[in-house]
Amino acid sequence: MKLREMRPVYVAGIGLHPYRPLSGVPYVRLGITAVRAALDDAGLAWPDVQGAYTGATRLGMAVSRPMLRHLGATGIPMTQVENASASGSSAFRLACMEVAAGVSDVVLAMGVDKPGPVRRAESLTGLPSLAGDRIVPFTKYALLADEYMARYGASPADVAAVAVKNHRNGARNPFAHRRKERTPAEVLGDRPIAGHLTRLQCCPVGEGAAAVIVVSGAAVARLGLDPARCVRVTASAQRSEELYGPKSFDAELTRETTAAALADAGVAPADVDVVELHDAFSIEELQYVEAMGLCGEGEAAGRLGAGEFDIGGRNAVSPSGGLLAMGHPVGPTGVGQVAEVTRQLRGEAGDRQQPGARTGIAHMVGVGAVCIVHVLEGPAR
Amino acid sequence: MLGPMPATHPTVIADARPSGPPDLRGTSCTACGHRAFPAQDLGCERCGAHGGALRPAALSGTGTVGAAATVHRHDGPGIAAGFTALAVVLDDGPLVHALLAADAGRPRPGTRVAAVVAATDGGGGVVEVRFVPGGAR
Repeated sequence: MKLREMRPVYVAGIGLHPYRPLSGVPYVRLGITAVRAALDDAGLAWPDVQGAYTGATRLGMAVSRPMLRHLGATGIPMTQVENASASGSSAFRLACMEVAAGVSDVVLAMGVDKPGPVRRAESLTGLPSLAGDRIVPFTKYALLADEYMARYGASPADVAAVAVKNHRNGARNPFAHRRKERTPAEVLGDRPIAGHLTRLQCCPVGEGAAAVIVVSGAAVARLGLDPARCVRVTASAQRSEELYGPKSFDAELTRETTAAALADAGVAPADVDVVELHDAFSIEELQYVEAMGLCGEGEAAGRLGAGEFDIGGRNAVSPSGGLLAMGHPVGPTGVGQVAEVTRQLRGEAGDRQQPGARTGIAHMVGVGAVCIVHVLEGPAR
Repeated sequence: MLGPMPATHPTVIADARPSGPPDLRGTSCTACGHRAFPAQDLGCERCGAHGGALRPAALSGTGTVGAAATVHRHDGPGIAAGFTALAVVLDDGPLVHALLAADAGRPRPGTRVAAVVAATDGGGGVVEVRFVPGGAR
């Protein structure tokens, strides 16, 4: 069943703790800062919340209650969600499902994380590979960049232009990990990591927290929330990798998941005003805007250069700064995307505002691979 | 805190031949024909057949470079940067990530490559391969 055919679901409140490098501050303080901000934004009190989902990846077992008890021990169901980079997106999806199904009227979806040791289950399968531990995410995306450049004649500068745009957006975002504009020469001349990818084309993985309050239409009326600040979630799609032959599985997975989400929402790619996507590495944005149907195959670099994906362009892509500049603390990232899209669709994004934004999507890929896409629709303004 | 990974014995991943590149130890599904690397009997990724339906398959150690990237920095324990990673489409179908042999240049996408033995387990089993330019289809 499509989300749109179930009970209407809205984002009523958003809150963030700034993303930043690892500090000595315990995760609890990061998390409750974001939740209190989201409650204040919605005009709700903690006892109004009937359930909580927390995306986290490196904090260990049972993250939620040691944090959320400081808001008051109300006894609500609390669930930890781990889905690699898409953990926060999964927490949000589960909150949406719980509200849409009528189980609850007000549910918290949040993410909180801090850098720490991580072990990927894929390394425990007992199956060998030809490259062992040498292939890590930035290696894989450097390979994809090489393949993309060879196929479409794109240059390293074309790929680096993604980072230039997203650093420019992040510089205007008070919650961003990286808040400095960068020139093309700075991005291209930064420390090389793999292939043509430099450090500034790879996302910073630090700490942070993000929270959103998901509510039913009934709750909007019952709790006296401001409908003009409630953003409807019109689709939630999640898929996992199939067999795509030699094609980029991230792009193919993005293609089919985004198509499913947009179809469920009844929206054409051309109607999307704001996109927050998984730009952990610069090359991903070029591949994903094509896979999403925002432009044709091989056209992304040219359209980026023409300003079509800038704030004020045809589709604002990663107005938050994306993973490249806002950052990728992992657990919170997908929830932070929803917060940014909500802010944009309310018209409250200040100097990052995409003019007239009505429809937005939030897209994450997680190793495995999984992909999650949500479509949000702003209130009439 | 995660502890160290348990020690494992290197897995034999390829078999040397009297001449030419080693064969990679892969899997062929008798139910759907899907071929994949590595060898395994857990289940076919295409159709789910498992156990006896999956047969060991010698995959040709030749293929075509889909992409190459030199790794300048790596945080993995014991991994020295400066190697070149490859995406290779094997002639027998599977796409594999592999490593270029040292001093083997900077192959462009489309370059033909072949596996060479990089390490054995002492009993002749090939536990590590690299790729070098060359290799007839």
